[in-house]
Amino acid sequence: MSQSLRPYLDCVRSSLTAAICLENFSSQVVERHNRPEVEAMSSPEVILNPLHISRNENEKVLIESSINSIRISIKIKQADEIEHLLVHKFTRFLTGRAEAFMILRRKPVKDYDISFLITNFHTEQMLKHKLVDFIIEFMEEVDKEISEMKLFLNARARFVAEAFLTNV
Amino acid sequence: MANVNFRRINIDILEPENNIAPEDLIPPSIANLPPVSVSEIQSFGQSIRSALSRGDHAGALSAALANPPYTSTEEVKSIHLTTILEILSTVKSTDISKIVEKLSSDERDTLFKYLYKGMSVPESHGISGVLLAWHEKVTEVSGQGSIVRYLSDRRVV
Repeated sequence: MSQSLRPYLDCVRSSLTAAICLENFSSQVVERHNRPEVEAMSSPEVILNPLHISRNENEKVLIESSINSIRISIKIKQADEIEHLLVHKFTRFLTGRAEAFMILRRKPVKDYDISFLITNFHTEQMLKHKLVDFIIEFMEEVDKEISEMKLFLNARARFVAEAFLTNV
Repeated sequence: MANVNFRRINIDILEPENNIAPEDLIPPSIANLPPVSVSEIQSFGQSIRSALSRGDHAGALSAALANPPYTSTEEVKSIHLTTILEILSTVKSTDISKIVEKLSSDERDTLFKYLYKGMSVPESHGISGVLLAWHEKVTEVSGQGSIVRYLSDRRVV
């Protein structure tokens, strides 16, 4: 892990651990409803201060928390056009299968690439530290995955170009 | 009346009990504080800067964290944020732990507010590494509790 990535991930880890502190909380507006308050935004008193963590302008995390749910939005590193395209395709692939991922949100928050929504029901079913580990691992893996895909893409493009031009 | 689509009106909002404005949540301990003017905060920033040039980093930081302008305009808050970010970026990375240990726990909580606020503004993306280093050191000293206090504190900077 590079020298500047470690403090970034440590910061996200400690912030997430502090923020995932959720309890069951029924809607204050409608009886027998139970909504994630961070999405419903029905009252400011159950919404907590947002946490911004940034490594540079291309890599940011936003953690918005409330009494019964938290929303984590990640901006994945995109240095150039190819990476931008790859990130778009990759996140689309994941969000299209959001049911299988439990905590994945179908649509990212504005300015971010991918969002997760963790509610109290998730923390009741799953272990909190495993959830945090999952998010951190996702952040580590996604950078690797994108740069790997970029290498493959370039290698393929080179091969195709060579094969195309040698026959002339 | 016929052209108003009454089914689309969110009647829950009209209930006064359900309407809490963000201003109602400001704790009374700070709600009556007089707002700080731009010139006051600028002269305060100058005094902090002169302390910095004398090499008194710890003193400058705790003075800046002692009275954050909670009840002032966004402009005043951003001037104070710039002052604090200036202090944070002048401290050498080896001295951070020493300075953090000298701060009181209230000052560390306030420092957390400025760290997270600092990372949210685009101007400070150049010094994100410094802010992350500070965050790491402050978390080592005061633990998760400070982050939770940041989350639930309505006295935003």
